[in-house]
Amino acid sequence: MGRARAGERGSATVELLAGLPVLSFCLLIAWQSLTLVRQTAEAEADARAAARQLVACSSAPAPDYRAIDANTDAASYAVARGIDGSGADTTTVTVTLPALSLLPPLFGASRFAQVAPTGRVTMRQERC
Amino acid sequence: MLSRRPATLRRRRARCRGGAVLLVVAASATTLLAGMAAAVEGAAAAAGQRAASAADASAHAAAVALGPGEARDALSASLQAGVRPCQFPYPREAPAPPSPDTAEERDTDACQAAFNAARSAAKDNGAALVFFVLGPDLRDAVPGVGTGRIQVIVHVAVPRRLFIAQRVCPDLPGDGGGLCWAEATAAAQRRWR
Repeated sequence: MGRARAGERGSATVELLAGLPVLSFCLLIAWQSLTLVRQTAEAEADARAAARQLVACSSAPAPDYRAIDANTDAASYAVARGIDGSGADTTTVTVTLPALSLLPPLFGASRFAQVAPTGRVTMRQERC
Repeated sequence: MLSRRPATLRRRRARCRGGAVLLVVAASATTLLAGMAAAVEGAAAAAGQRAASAADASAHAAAVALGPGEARDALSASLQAGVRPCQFPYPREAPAPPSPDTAEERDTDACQAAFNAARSAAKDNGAALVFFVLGPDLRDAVPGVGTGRIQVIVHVAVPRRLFIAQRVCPDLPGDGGGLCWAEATAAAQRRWR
């Protein structure tokens, strides 16, 4: 009788131990998604700040990207000049941040790394 | 009495068996649901950022479109005299559409150019222009002083594209509230002279 109870108690512990990694993985996935969303918003804000500086009539040839966001050293800024529908000059800034991966490599960290948080803003060039 | 006890205990133990698994499954499901809700909320916040960028770009484009020239001066005179609003959607109680008068045509051209620029910039940033108004900055309305700064206010909407609510969302902003569209307002000023 006593051995049987002890065995059941042990099986419950084993079940709990087997289930805990699943719970932890779910938590990690949720956290990873939130991180990517936060990074996307950050990229959008950086793109807007860079576009504002680029379209303004100022003497500076290029914006100080480090001043825009000190935490995004590894960010890549792509600037494209174009013309909108009314024939005015436009500047498009695309900011891509390196995805911050929280998952271990075994659980698809490389897949999350491919989802690079990106922000893109197009603004009309000021006439100087 | 004694023979019943072991049977009751066995039933209880049988119920307890798998309890830990159920608990973990329930906790995992709750965590997943909470994570999905947080991700949706995050996506909504990201759409808000896009809307703010689009509104900013739209207002700036309208201000830039008001380059120096005769048309802008005519528009300024017209706006400050309260002859006709430069607004979208055009208010119902406003005066009739422009007559063939030359000055008014010029005035309309400048208004139209600013509006087109705002709409084009909003579109380039994936947004729809919901409201646009261009007028003199009332803080500069000093008696005896001419035209001051001109001010553009725009309101844009960006589709949130939430996969959960996509089927019930309307194609145009206005309906569906905050669930379907992220909205933002921005203003820009331009010194007159």
